Amino acid sequence: MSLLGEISGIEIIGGVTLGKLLAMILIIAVGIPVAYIVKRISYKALVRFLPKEIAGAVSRIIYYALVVAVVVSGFGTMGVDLTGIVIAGGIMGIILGFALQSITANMVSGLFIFWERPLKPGDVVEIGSVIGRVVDISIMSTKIMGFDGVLVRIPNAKVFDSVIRNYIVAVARRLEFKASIAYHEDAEKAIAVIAEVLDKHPMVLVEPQPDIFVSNLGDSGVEITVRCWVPTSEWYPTLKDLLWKIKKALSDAGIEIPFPQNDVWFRSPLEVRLIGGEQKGQ
Amino acid sequence: MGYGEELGEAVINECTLSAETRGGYVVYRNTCGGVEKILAGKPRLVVLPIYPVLYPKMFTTYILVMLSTPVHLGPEEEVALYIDTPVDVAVYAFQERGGPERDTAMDVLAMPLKALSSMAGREEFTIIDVVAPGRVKYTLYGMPETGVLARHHVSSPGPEPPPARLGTAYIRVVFRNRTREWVTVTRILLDARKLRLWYRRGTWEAFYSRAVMTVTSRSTASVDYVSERPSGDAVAVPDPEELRPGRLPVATDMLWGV
Repeated sequence: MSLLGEISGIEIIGGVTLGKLLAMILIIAVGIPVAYIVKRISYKALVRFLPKEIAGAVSRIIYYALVVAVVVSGFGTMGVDLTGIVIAGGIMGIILGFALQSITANMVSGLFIFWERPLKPGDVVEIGSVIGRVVDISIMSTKIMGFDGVLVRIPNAKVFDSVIRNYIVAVARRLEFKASIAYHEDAEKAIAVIAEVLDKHPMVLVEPQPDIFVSNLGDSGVEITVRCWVPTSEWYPTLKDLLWKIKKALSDAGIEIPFPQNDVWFRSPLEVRLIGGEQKGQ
Repeated sequence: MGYGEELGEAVINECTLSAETRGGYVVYRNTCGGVEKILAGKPRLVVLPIYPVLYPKMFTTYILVMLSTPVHLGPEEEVALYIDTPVDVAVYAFQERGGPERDTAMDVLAMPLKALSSMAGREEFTIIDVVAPGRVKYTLYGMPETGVLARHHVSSPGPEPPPARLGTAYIRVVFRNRTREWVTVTRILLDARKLRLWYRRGTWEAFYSRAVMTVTSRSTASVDYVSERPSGDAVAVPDPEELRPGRLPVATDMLWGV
């Protein structure tokens, strides 16, 4: 037996030889820097499409998982039986998994939201019944500042499962409203009046062309639907401005905008009595 | 009244613009919208043409000019034509940054571009108001999700520059067909950030630097901008910061039809 073999075969304690100890030290000494390098590489790769905090968290998880694997491998070479610890860790993991189910779901959903990018800070969105501007997206939740000034925190799992309407992804947005005119009015004239209002408004886009048409013969009047496209950033001001301008233009053109009306017919003639007189009428 | 002249009172469409000097400040008024502003110091208020993307507010830098007469280009043919484009009117306030008394002979507005930039250390400007003398309409070029918004204008191309008119600026465009088939050009997309706007003092004549529209397929083209100083006494409009051209010439791509 060579000298090296003899030295490595020296037993230190309880069957652990010097060679096995050195092998363990070597595995840990090499494995941990390698895990660190993998962490740095994964961070650089992830930070391209994930926010810094998320990329940092994911790369740290990778790092600690590798460190655990290295340590288990190292002790394994020494003949230390870590099966019990691994099983205990596994059971602990299952328990924690159940206990932290919602947290895990939110974290995973957060990662998918970052991956898919259906919304980003600054976007005006509607998630469920919440409408507002996205102010922050973290790994656990999405914060939305409502137009009423109330900050709403929505867990990412709920965001991920919800229908998300993003109102500012497109540069232009369609605006739609209805105007009603009396039955005796000329609908073609009303359409021409509305078209002129749209034509004069700078924020109503030339293309796509506005669409104005009779859409319904309602209970009280003829309904005219107006559809036009406006710059997304000007959608709300234009909506407020246009509706009133159309109302004024229709009134100026002498076109009656009807109130809801009900004609009531009595099957039997009504008798009218004048108090303090003797006259009777029908 | 014309571009480059100091504002006393001017009527543009139905708007009366006026500047009144009082004690240590100037009061600017615009009857449209009841605009009234107080400007400290003794700034010179000057009416100049401005790129038509600032009124009523800036949300694009593009101008889409529709040609009322389509231009049919044979294979690998080209033609140079003049078209008119919209231009708005801006009220500039020029203020010296201190130092020696202003040399009246060195009127910044009468100076060529190079001299103007050398004056940059002495006189600062800001745009205090923008008025649109013509019809203001915007349009969408492309799809809502991928296209761009642009100021809309309809122009009739011709071989000569159109007569000077408040609210329009002309541009000479070389329409070039690089394909081996006939193409029809019905519009051109211009980017105000890459154009250069010039005017002649005392007149309503405004014009842009030349552009070359190279048609690369039946539905795509690229527009390049030629940066050159025009002959004569033309003066460059000081560009607001958000519309200042970059150092590298970049073409405007037309990807959604020509």
